[in-house]
Amino acid sequence: MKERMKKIKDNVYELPVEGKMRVPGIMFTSDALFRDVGEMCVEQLEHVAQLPGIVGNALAMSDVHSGYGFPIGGVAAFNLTEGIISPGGVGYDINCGVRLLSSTLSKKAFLKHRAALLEEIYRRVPSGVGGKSGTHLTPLELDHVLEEGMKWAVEKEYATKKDEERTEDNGCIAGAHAKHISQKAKNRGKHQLGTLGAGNHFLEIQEVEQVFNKKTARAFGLKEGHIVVMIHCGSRGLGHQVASDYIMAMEKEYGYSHLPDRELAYAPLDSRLGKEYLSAMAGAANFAFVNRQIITDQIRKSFRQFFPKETLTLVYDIAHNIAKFEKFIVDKKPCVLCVHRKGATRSYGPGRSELPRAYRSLGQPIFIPGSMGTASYVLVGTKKAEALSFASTAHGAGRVLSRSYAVKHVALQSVKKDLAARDIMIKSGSERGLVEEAPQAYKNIDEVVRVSDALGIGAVVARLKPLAVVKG
Amino acid sequence: MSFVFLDHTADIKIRVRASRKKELFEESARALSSYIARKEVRSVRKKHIRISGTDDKALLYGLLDELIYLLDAEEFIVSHVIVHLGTSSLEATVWGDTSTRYDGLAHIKAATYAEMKITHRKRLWEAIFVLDV
Repeated sequence: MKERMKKIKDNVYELPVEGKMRVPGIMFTSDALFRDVGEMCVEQLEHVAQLPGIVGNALAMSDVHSGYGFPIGGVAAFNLTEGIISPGGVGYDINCGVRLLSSTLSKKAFLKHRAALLEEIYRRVPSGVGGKSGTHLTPLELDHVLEEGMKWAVEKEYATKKDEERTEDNGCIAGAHAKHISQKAKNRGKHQLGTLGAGNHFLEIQEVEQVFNKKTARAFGLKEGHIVVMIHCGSRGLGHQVASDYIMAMEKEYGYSHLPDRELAYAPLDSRLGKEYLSAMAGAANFAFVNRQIITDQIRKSFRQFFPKETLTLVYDIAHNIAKFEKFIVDKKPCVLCVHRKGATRSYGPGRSELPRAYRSLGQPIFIPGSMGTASYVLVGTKKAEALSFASTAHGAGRVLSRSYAVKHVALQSVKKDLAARDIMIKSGSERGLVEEAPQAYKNIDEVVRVSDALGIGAVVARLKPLAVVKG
Repeated sequence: MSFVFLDHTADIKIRVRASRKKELFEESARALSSYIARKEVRSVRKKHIRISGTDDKALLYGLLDELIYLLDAEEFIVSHVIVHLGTSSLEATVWGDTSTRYDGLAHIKAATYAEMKITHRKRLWEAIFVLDV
């Protein structure tokens, strides 16, 4: 399968149309990263290219690795007449995403209180399996969270108006109706608002190590040597249950014999079930925006104990597991498409009205976290991304080693020693989690970002270096 | 009956073998319990569940989904299940314990159909499935 992929130019590989494929597959990857791309990943790209109503190309970003149904790092856009919506094309963790908070604190000032501050954040933000929320919601309030997202958070004073404006879609994806989310999903979510979860989710306090684009960095509030906070998590059990519920419902309604992979269960965009999933997905996404906001509120309170004047400004909040209706030019004609991004970040260039006013002339902020203990990057969206990749770029480092391989072959002590040697302080409820997320289990983040920058689908703004980490 | 964890880049892949079909479902639940707790879970609480599905894969997906739900929403961790298979349905008695009594539990987001296989060859049932973690 992999030998069918042809390099067509620097950082672009193509999977030509064959068999049931409706469009070609395109992988944005360098020669070095392509070597690690697995057979299954290419097969999944081929399956996506077979889906009804797909427009342009089935895309894979530079951090691509195999997922379930869609590859992770996959992007696919569908027209509204024949197109489909697939929960597998969004992912189980609906609106898994990243936000970044900027500060005026210097590294030196922060390091004086690092251990105590990390301890305080760890205490305030529940993490790991069974980490229960301090935010108690009545069923009615949960419905408000699902339908209103960040607007609810502003009303309840977890968020400022500025936080709301600096969240993708203003933190409220339209069309969410709580009635389309099952009681099971609500039961999973009601104790989890404001919790980090486990797996690859984390909070990281970082230093802006290097700025590559001064003007944009300044507009984003980033200055070399200053402290920033990155939050990576999603919609918790609520979103996972929404995904499972609708995969089961869609295969009951439409069967699965026509699918190249059962995980690709889908419904037509204009069907009742398709619309209900979109509504439930929007609700789960709104829950995730609020989840990251409540965590932000706890982090701000923790910082204030040590730095009373520090407010921590939200730079932006992005969703990297989501499907959205967006305007693009296809064959020189403007049209609205349903863009699935599964492990991919939206990369709007300058001029898009969807962006907050402060960033409209520059482009959208993009955050690409590295693996635990390695650098993360801030990028900015580009016009070229709108032309090349349905305004999308990578979302993270992407795994190369399996979790079970890491557990068997990577020693906990060496992970701890390695982090200590790089002067990174870590708090984690799970030692196994530390090993599973060891940096050697991931692709080289520098290379993933370099490909995005070289192609011009996301331009590098700054590199961030971790100083303290809470692992879920 | 046996289960083993296989290599998978991003997630957890499990192979289960059993001589009877109902045992295949029971052993899959034990594998899930073992992955989450990494030690023996006590059988001190029980629940009854019913899953419907058009084929064996849908039933396995539904069973795993329900066990993940019980942990996430009801603080109930499975130790083992006793399965009764019907036509297009499965009923099970789920034995387990209160999850807050266990430390360092591993997290599972969801069951998946990815790479799922259920085969019956030479009187041996085999299931392979991937969990999203």
